[in-house]
Amino acid sequence: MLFAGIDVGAQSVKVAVLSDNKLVFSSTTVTDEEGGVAARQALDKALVALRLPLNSLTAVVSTGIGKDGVAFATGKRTEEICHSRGAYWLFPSARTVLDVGAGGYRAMRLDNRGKLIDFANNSKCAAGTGSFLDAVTRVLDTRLEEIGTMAVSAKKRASVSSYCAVFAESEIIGNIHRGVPKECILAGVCYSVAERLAEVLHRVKIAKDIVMTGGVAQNIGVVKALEEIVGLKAKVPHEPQIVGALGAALFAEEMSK
Amino acid sequence: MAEEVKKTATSKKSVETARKVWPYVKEDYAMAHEWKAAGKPIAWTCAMLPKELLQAMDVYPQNPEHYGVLTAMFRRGGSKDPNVVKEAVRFCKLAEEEGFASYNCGYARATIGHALTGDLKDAPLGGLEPPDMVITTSCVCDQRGKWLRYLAQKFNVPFYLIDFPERGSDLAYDMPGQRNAILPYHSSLKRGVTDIYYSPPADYEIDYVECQWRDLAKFIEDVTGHKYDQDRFNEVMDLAYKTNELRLEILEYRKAVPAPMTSADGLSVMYPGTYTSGTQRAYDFYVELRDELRQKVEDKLGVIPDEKFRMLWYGLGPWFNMALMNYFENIGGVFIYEPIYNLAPFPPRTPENPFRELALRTLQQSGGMMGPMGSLGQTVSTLVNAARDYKAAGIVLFYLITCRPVVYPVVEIGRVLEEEFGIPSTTLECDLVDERSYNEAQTLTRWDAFAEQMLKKGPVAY
Amino acid sequence: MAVEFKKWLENRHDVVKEWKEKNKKDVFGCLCCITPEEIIYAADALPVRITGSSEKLEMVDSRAPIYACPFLRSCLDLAGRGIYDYLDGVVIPNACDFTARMDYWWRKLVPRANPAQQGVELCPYVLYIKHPEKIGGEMSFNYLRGEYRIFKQHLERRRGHFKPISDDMLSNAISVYNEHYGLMEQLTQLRKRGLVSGSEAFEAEFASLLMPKNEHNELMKQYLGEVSQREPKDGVRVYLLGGGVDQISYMIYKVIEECGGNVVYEDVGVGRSYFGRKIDTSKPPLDAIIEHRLDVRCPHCITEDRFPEDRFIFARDRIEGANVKGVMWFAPLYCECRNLEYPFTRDRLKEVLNIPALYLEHDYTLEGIGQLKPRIETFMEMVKS
Ligand code: SF4
Repeated sequence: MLFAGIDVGAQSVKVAVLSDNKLVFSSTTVTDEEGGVAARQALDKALVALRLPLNSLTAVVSTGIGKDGVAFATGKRTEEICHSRGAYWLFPSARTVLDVGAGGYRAMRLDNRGKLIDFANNSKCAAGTGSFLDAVTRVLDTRLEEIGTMAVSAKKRASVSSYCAVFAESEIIGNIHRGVPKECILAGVCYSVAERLAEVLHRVKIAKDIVMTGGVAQNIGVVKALEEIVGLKAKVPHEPQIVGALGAALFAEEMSK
Repeated sequence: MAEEVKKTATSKKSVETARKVWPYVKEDYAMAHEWKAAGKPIAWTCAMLPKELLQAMDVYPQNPEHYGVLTAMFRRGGSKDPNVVKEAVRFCKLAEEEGFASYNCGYARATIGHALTGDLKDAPLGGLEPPDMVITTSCVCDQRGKWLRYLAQKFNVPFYLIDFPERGSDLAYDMPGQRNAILPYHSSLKRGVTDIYYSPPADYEIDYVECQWRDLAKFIEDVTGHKYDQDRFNEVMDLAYKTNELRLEILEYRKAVPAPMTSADGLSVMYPGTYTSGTQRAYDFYVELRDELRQKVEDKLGVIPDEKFRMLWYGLGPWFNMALMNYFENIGGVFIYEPIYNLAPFPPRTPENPFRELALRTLQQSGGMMGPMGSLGQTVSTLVNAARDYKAAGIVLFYLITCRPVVYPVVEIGRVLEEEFGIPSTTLECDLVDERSYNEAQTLTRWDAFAEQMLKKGPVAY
Repeated sequence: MAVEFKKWLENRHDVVKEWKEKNKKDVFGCLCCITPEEIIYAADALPVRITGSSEKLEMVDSRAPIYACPFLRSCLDLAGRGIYDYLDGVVIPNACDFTARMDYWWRKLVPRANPAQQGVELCPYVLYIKHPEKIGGEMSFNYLRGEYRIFKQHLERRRGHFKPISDDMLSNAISVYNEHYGLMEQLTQLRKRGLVSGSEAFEAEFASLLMPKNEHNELMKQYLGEVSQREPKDGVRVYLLGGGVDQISYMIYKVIEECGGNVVYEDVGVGRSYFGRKIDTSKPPLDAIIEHRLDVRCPHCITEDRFPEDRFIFARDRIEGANVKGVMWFAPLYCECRNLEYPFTRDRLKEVLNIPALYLEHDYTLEGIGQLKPRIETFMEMVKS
């Protein structure tokens, strides 16, 4: 039996397919389409890759901000629930899960059976989200993938201390004008993002192990800065961005039991 | 010009006596540590709560509010590294992580965070000492009630709130024998807002506050075992009265042209009177300040040699960068007065019932003539009066986004001064200790435009 | 919802105007629970709650800063636009730093001159009540008596004529209000049995803030009869704390229900939140009203206790026996009174009752409230098991 999870995010749709409690397929599709359509396209791609018809899926659970738009889903779950579930499945030692996506970030606390016991979300401000990093790449004329590695190569860290995304951007511009090297600014940016993330983590009272999920977990600069701030190592799965979809697929499996 | 603002927490001093505030403060904190070490009681309290009763009953007052100011000036362990955040920022974050919203007063967040660290000593000047009780007031703002109550809960110590009913809509009906004297609050003013009246407190209000002062004395007796002694209380009240007279006299000198003292110093010399009223030290401090100002005024010595425009400062200090308050000085602009925690004459001494006297005083201060502490109309008219009395040509409005009593009247003050009196204004928009909310580039662009406007405008004829 | 309630909820301004026209009586706008409505009722006038709206703000920004409670800003905006022009008076208690300044703004935005004697108005258009911030005990009682006596004197001199409010008139008002409090208690019991949902109960209560209590009582009796026949139906039970009561913040009840929850009891600004008991009829009427009003646990007020934990105890007493799974705060932005109480109360709820809490802040827009939905869903899922 096959189970799918679909995570409809702010910028991309993630799909995970499970069979016999094993992950058999995963994908990330960046799209401009509206949620429901994008979800369908992404799932079709999965089915093509797996050479299977739609009705071979026993259950599909959707999550992410666009979860309500997925008409063919048999169930839906929130991001906090799915990321927790996925992270705990990958790392049974997970007690704190941090998901950082394009549109927002959230920290979840789990008990030793993987049950969600507390969670906290970002405030409305964009600072600390993936889209803030996107904006930074535009201001600094770099690519998203480079940010992390450039940041860790920096010898010094420029100060980006404002807690408001708009202010932070003007601080970055100030740094550019003062001739601060790009990698130092990026180190400052990563650090400031990590500070935001540490805030939500502290809200749920951090416990070991921390698992980081979502696209921003691929940014080594942010991860390293976060580890420095909270004084703990973070576990990052191989494909952090699909953990939400994975959790949704696990729920699909559970629903059919 | 923007490049010239140095990131210093301290402002340039315009009077010698202002240099003595810092040693005074340090001594206060050192004394608190000794006091505690000797096993004597400490109360956490706040500005606008007269300290006389505490002084008279040998309870040492410490003020989280003021400690908030200190955390804005230092980095951890006295570090000078700009990458180490100010203590205020470190503490505010801790409070926010605990669930306190970032729109709360910076003083509240900073001191809650300080308490949450669990190690009070690891902080500027050795931190606050753990309290034996918390005594606060309802006047000025709601936050000081709730935030100090949280601190009492946190330390699990007895809590006392003394309620000063305030901010009356002073258009009350003339109740026979009670609210009978309704005085126009600024009848001498010719133009503009004249519909705000100041009605003296009614008997039931004075009774209410008097009972509470008596009750507080009982509370302190219960908590500390110290006995209330009326003679002792009267001695302290005498000193406080004399000190207030001095401070009022100082205000008169500050009206002089050229201005003998800046608002930055005005905010700093507030300390002895606000937090240690009723002590000989406070009295001596103001004698010295008064003498210095008197001399300066006689000698016609101004803060800056060529005074081009005079401005009011509305709001509290931007403590994380007090140098901002000197920003206009090199082009001849000076902040001459800061009508906040405004002073008013004390009611006459009545040694046979000092509690009632104190009740009357606190009511007059909180409900009537106290600028931002009164009703919104009173705040506006206080500013109008101050502009006239101090011959101000402009005003900088501190849009103190986290302090309700300061921020609520801002729009109205700006509007009335501009529309009815032609006094232009600009703003500073941030918290008072949490510098994360401050945007320098934006602020200074606005201020530069304002400076040009002021230079063009020239002095105002009053 | 009974149709009759609906009329008052959906069309509140027109219905009140119509009522006024028909009955030829005065209408007073009130803010907050601590306003002594009974005295206004006794003065043969109709007290109605002042509420905001989701319409775009038009003029408030030129008078008041944006760093302030969005609910009260909306109320002020409506006042400035003349929406509340049908009111014959406005009663403002100092329920927080913002409301304490509302009297100034209201007077400026809605200038009205009433008959005066020696330059002093006999009954100002905007009446301000300095409710004590410290509640309980004889001191605040005596003080509030002073405030209410002045308030009563003002009402007695409306339009420049002296028309005394006798003890009988007060007692009569008290009996109407007591009936109301009793009916509301019955409603609460039905909620606890799962017969009435949180949103339905809110509608019923909210209507009472906009219409004469005697008429409301009649509708209520009918309504209670209808709903007590129902089959129980329930969601995940939550207890709600918040402020700025009106048709906008009401949406949170709906959203919670959409997420599978149900508000079974609350501590928000509707009467039922605070008036668990009736007014004592064995006391002189004005004193009894004062005592009753001093029982209100408005988040602005602080109890006399030396070791205060009043918000927690208040919640604990309400939650008891109601099988509540979670506690939710739903506070307007910049509501420091609510926010500063939250961390301690949250911790006590967890320690003593093992009930988790969620703090939600709203900007008083329908979209903003809608955006809270995912977090509410997660919370429901979390507390369910
Ligand atoms: S008056 Fe303003 S700055 Fe002072 S404690 Fe209250 S909120 Fe904070």
